[in-house]
Amino acid sequence: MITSTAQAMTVGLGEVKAATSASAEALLALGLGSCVGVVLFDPLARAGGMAHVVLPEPPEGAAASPKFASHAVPLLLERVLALGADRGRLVCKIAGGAQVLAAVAMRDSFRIGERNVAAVQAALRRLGIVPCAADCGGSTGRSLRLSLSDGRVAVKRLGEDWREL
Amino acid sequence: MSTTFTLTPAEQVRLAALVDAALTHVTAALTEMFGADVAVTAVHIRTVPLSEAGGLIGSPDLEVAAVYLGAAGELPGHLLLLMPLDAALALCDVLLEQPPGTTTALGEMEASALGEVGNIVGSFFLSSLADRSGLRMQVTPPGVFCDMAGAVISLALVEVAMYADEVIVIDAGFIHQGRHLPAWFLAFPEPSHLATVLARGGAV
Repeated sequence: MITSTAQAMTVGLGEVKAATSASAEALLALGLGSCVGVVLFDPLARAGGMAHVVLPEPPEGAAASPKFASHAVPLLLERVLALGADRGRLVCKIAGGAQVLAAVAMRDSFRIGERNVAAVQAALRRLGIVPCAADCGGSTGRSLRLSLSDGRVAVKRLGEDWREL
Repeated sequence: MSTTFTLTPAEQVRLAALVDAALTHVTAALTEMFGADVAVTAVHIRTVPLSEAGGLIGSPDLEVAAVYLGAAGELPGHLLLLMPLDAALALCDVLLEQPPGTTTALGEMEASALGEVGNIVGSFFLSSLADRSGLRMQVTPPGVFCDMAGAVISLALVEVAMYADEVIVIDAGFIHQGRHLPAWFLAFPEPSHLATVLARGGAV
């Protein structure tokens, strides 16, 4: 079971990163709350990527940015394909989008977690990609890890151990 | 639309003076609450890329107890008092005058005690800012919860992140009876409002 975060490439808020097993051991998004982590991986090319989506779509007048699902998902696909991945072999998994307890205290009437998940799913649909696994919702944060050597994806919820997705 | 915010040197000086004065009020209030010296230390005002905001107090997956207060009015923003969970449990023992190690979970009473600390920090901070700047500001009642630090911080930043790729962070640490308290006070003013307030010179 995955327990180490060593040699992992961290994907911060609003970032999209892609790598092969030759350049990094893993991609890692820590402390996802309402944010959604999106993983694409080609098991043959051992190339994969991860997006750390913060918001569903840009408000009017805001610049395009990978912090928005509508921009992050196409950018993630572009970066993974640029590493030699084959679109037909891509495996997609997503996690996050919690309505964390903090949201209640913050009077989050926007239900940002749910909206992030819906926006990510819509962006994937537009690209013809269907996630084969998802761990979304709930009320606490979680971390997401993609192992680039074998494509295993693991999720660690608050107070729990890593488990494979 | 701009997605970065740069404060001029003059604006930084104005903001630093405001924050210093506000934290002096916070120190006095906490000292009275604890009945012992509490000092606010290591005040930083900095601009941080959004991508690094989840790690402001350490690893984003660190389990923390958090007190959240929203700032409303002419300078809206978000205030967080964050502590590693074990430090929060130890602080509850101090607040509830119990032997060390008594508190093992955050129940209603413990959450209420932590909320009161957060309320004092946030309220005194904002009231000092309001008094010195002439701005109208209100604070929401405190919310207390446990989660991963990254999950809490990112949610507090949702509104700021809508328009900004950088966040302005005011952070401070605490010393209680000569010992470092592993707690962080983070304030995230909404950048466009902060820039407007400082630019008009009202905040000195």
